[in-house]
Amino acid sequence: MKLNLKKKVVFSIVFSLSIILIILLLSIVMDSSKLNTNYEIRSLAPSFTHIFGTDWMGRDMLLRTVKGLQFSLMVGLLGAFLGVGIAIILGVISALGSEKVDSAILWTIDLFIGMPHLIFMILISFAVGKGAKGVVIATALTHWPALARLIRNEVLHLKNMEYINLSHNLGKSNWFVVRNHILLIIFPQILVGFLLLFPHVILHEASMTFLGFGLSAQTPSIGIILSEAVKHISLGDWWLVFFPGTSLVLLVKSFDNIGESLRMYVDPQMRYI
Amino acid sequence: MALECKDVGFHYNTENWLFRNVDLRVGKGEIVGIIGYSGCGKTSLSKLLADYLIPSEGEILIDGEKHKKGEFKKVQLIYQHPEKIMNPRWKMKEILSESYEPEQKILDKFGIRNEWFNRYPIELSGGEMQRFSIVRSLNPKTEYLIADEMTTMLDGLTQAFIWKQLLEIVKTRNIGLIIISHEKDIIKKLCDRCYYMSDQKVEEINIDSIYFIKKQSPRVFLHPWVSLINNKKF
Repeated sequence: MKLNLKKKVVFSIVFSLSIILIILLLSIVMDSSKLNTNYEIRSLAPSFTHIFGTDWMGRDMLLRTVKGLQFSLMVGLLGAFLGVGIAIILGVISALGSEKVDSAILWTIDLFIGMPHLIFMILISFAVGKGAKGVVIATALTHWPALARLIRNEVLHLKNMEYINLSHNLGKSNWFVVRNHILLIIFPQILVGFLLLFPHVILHEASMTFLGFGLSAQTPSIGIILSEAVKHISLGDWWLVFFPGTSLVLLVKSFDNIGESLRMYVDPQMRYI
Repeated sequence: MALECKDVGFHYNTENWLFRNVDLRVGKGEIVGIIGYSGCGKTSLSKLLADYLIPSEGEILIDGEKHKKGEFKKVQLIYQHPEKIMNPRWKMKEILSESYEPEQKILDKFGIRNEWFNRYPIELSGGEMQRFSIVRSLNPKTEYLIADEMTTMLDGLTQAFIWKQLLEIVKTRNIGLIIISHEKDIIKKLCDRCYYMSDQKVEEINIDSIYFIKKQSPRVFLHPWVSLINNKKF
């Protein structure tokens, strides 16, 4: 029983990781010259030569999907990294700082949360100049507030713990306490927060490109693929939506899965399960 | 050279003072007991002395000086619950070395086995954890020690063993020790002097008269609606 659950956790992490790795590997190995239009093979249903089928311009859908997911992964990684970084710094400062600092940071968090997310991202991407850069910066800058508030509350709860007080009384500095006590304890939350930000960022990136902000039409991106496919789904070309959509969900679910499994694995209370 | 309380008062909310005008003096190498019923503020007093809380009035002086911020505190406190003062994600060796690197002699004295070092606090029993917490507080820089119900959770034999070892070290290092307990036997056996803590004050009593302390019912603050319980309308 004990071994089974541990095996299950490890298995699900390995499975999710391998999906992500396969996507990464495929995107590196595959030749992007096939992205050129070829009207002789337009709108082909899935077959062995074109596993995901081809679109109305004769482009291989597998290749487009993989390249699109690669872009999504890149944006997701950057967004999640930046989001977690900002969230940790602001969350810890807010909890340990003076009342004024705390309310200033809380106000900023409310400001970011209060604004409609998608509109805010579109605004930022316009402000910094459109294109891939705009999408990346917009997604990176808007995903930290919820996590920052979570971290602030965690640290607020921790800072009055007796072992933190004791550490101060042993002559340790604030920096030592943050580094060795607080960050260590909230590490699982940070890790899970990081991995759960990932799918969030990826989905937002997809919805932004779906709405037509940021990227040009020939750049492979899941959002663009889906928005183009919407026009063709009434013709019966189901594979244009089905395969890219499914692989996006699979990618997002993989990160979600790793986050949940790792949280279970890191927790000392669960070490023996 | 002494740990002194001068006119110290403390309250959690401004209307109810937990205690006021407390004067207390513990010299180096002295063993002093504080006894009182539950809820009278023994633990709060010990936290004041060890600078976990700040007194609402009066001052606490260690060898004539106040507690300094950001430095090792010369007054160290041993808690009643060792599991609360250990980071659950640290191994025992890290917990010990946060204070100092103890010699093997002290570890042997308290019966701490080396195989415990690589365990987490959750993997030790209360008694085993308490030994670590005692050794950790015996930093070479410690000059006064407060034992707040230190052995309440242990069995009689282990209690005797731990007190014996601790007293030996306290004697050789000339540490001032405050023992806080509600067990009269421990106070009577170990202490030179004794303070009795009761309603909002602390007074020194003769250690031989400790068994004559009347049993007092603790102060209970009832919420107003409690008086409605016997009301026939309900």
